[in-house]
Amino acid sequence: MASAPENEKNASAPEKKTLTLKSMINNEEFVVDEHVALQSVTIKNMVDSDCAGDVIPVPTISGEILALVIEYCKNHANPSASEDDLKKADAGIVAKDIYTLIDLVLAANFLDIKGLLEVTSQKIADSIKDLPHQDVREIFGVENDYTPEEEAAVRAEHDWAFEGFP
Amino acid sequence: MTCFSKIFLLLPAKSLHRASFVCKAWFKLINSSNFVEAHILQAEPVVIYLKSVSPPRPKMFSIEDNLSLSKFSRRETANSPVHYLSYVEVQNGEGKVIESNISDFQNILATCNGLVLATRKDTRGLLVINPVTRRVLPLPRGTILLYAECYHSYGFVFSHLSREYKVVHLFRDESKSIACEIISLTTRSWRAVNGPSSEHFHTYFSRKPVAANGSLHWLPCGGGCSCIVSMGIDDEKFYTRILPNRSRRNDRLVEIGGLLSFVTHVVEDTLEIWILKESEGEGWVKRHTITGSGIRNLVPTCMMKRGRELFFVIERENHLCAYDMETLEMRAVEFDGVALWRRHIYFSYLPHINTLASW
Repeated sequence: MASAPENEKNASAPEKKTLTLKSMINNEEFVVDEHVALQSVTIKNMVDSDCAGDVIPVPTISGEILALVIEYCKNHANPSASEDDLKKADAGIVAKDIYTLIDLVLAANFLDIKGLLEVTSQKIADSIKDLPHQDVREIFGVENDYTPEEEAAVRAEHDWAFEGFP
Repeated sequence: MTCFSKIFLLLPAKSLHRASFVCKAWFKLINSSNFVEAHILQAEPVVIYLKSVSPPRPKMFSIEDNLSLSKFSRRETANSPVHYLSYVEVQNGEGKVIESNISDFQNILATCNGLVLATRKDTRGLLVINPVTRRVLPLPRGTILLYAECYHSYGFVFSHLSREYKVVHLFRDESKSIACEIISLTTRSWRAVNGPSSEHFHTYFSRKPVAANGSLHWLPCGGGCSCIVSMGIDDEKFYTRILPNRSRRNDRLVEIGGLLSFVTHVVEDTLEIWILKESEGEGWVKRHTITGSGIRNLVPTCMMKRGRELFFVIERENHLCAYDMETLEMRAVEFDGVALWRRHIYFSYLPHINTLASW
């Protein structure tokens, strides 16, 4: 019977499982309750397909950012938290400088955590909407591939879009 | 990039337009038709209108100059008022008038996905403009047998089937029946199509058509209609549908979440919001009843706040009110602390969204 050992495994599984998430940037480790970590669809898929070992390596996300992600997941895994509590907690998590927010949105995207992706994206959008495009370029670390002539032509053609901006 | 595009979708159109100049890849993404369509779906409506400003501001975006026809157009004396395309944005019950410096319109006729259809000054042509990107497209006026605006009705729609914008023009012909012609923004020439039966229409076109659920819908009279006249946006066929009750003067059709809604004053001080549920075969379904004194003067205009608030205009008094569909509260929109929206009553006002849509 092929399914027998699996049933056995499930039966002997402890009530509260934990997972260890490890930032591959600075090797920081976080021990998290499984139901907290499973809010990440990426981690859930790894666990479901038995790809997850004892320690789940998280590439490209620093310990500092991973701590924020876990804080978010803990808040949202708490069944007694009211909608108002969650809103306040979310606002606290995204009250960071723009560079941290960009790292956080990339982490939320990689780990596939819909709610965190939404609140972080909204906060970034609110922060950049009134900035000149040169600042936006710098924040996102994008290389300007317009030649000076092309950029001047674009500015001349769309001058109203840059009104009030240097 | 898909992660950043989620952030871009949350930006207002003006910021998005500026962000498109960050690099070529961003320009391509932000102006791609998939992205523009996604942005249209989540853009917050505003009310667009023409605002008279006198004396005119020093720097203006003149449409006629832009179309290089300025040498043929009449020049204004320096102090006569100029009408600028402007819009009302509402946030937390506070109305804000945002003025653009775009001018040279006779009137605005219709809006679709962030594009504005307007009549040009002096010349009898039409134009389409995106006020955010300021791309302008002149269009021939079409058949004009009687000049007065009330003999003409213009609808502006996007056909998802042929993926083109179309302007639908209804007008009275010599035999007093209603003729219809359609121009595509891709081909830019008018073609005649079979018009609707004229039996339901009043002599004048008094209500602007509303696009919803794949069709363009007209309330055929200013009041006392027992049915609406509709045209399929893709098949261009006209049909009629019975209304749940006879319309009154301040009743309107409004698009709510893609569906057609009939907002009707049933009895004094009671207003009902009906939704047409065509796909489920249910027909008209009553969604809300609003009661309160003075409600009979309210003219429903558009939905805002992602379908949470219905906006009304009290036309003669120039008030703007918002009805919250969740808290069931009605309140006046204030402009700098005063519940008065200063506008020229001669000009139309229309629901609009700011997007980067193009044709």
